[in-house]
Amino acid sequence: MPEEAVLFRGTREGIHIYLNDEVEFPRVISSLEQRLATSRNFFQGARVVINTGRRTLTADQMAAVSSILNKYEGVQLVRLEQSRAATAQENREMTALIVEKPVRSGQQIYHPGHVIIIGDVNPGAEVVAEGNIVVMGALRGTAHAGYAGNRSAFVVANVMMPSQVSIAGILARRPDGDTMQAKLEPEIARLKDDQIIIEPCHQGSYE
Amino acid sequence: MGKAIVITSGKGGVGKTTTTANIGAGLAALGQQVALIDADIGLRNLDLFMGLENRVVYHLVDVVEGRASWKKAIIRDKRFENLVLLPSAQVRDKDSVTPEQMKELVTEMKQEFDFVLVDCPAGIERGFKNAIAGADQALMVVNPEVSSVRDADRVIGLLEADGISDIKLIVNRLRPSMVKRGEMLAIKDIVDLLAVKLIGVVPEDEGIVISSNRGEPIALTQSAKAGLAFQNISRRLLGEEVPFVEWHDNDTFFGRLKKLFGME
Ligand SMILES: Nc1ncnc2c1ncn2[C@@H]1O[C@H](COP(=O)(O)OP(=O)(O)O)[C@@H](O)[C@H]1O
Ligand SMILES: [Mg+2]
Repeated sequence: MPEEAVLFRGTREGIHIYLNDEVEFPRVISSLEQRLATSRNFFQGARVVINTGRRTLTADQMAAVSSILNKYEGVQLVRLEQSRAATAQENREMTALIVEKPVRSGQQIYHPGHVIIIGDVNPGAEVVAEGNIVVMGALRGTAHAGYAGNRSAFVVANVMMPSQVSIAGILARRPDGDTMQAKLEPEIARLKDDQIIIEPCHQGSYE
Repeated sequence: MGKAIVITSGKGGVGKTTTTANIGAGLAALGQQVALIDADIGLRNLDLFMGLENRVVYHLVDVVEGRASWKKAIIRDKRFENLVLLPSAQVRDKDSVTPEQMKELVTEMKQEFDFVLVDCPAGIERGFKNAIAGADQALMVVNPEVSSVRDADRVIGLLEADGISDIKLIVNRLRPSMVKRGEMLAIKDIVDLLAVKLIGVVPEDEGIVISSNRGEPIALTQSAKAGLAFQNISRRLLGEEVPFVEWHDNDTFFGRLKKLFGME
């Protein structure tokens, strides 16, 4: 079965259009044109985010995309994003960096794979991973998982009280003035429909 | 050979100089040979806290630049034979001393004293790097406030990166009534977050301001609560196990009951 060349998804931000990077570009373009034409009303005045997957668009390709969008009145391109969604295979093969002490204010850990912290991540500290982040302690600082666009990345912490957590560039922030106590059980932050959901880690909460 | 200990905090005004003066006096009272180095170049005030300001002739920068030997520059304390101060320069900038020079000086002084205490300036710039250069240990002074704890965390990271792993924590200016009302961070939360060992808790005490102004370390006043706290820290530095009876976050009747019944 041939893969979908384009994929639409409604989010809070507007309509996300994924251009499949495994389909040759001319087919992506014709498919985009077709899909837009068949749901013309739907796109009238819409805010659109284009995601090109791993493909970096050339100027010509970009021009082709925008000329299609421009045919629809009021369509506003809010963002062009490129995600480097790792395949399940790649995800498994990523290396893990193990940090055996707390990450303190002002310190940053970056690893192009998974990161495991044996200790706390304190306020003002930042952990950035292309894969998953596991904190065997309290996460009170910032954690960016799936930094290069891996939407299936997650963040797990024994005590989940991040000042900021993002997955594949999608951000959740602690509400200002939130003094809510964290649950005293491990929690996991994952993407669901372009929103970060934080829930207990225990079995059964997984899909 | 003695130990060099830097007293540091990140944030200014939390009580580094107060702590240096009081632990210096406390250790001297316990019979130790103690040297204090004021490494806060440009903001000289350890000599004031010790009541020695009008005896200052040579200072730290004179020593590193070779105008005076450290033996000539040190001032002997009025109360203790075995306590001396190497004052800082008032008008020089921090860059007139390098970390290498400080390390050399501290190493030399360690030969002659049991303790060399270095009073660190605020911040994490050159003055900080100078102050920690020769240190074997660090005492982190924090106030029970979010910003102070955050700065301390940053500084602990820098100390660890510099190879100083023996770091102990002093919580200064604690007001038990505020902690009880939840308006101040509790000791336990601070220690949990910073993940270093607690060596003392010093209460807010207006006697400290008065004694600093008079140039008489409060550690020499048996009756003052803050004085007792500094004496206990000095004893703990000598390896004595002194119980932390002074300050409990939950030292209310109900808190004690809860402890008794294992509710906490
Ligand atoms: N426990 C305390 N109770 C009351 N005042 C204090 C206490 N500790 C320090 N102070 C006061 O706070 C001010 C700053 O202290 P200082 O030791 O000079 O801080 P730093 O050297 O860290 O800048 C001084 O006026 C000092 O007297
Ligand atoms: Mg000072």
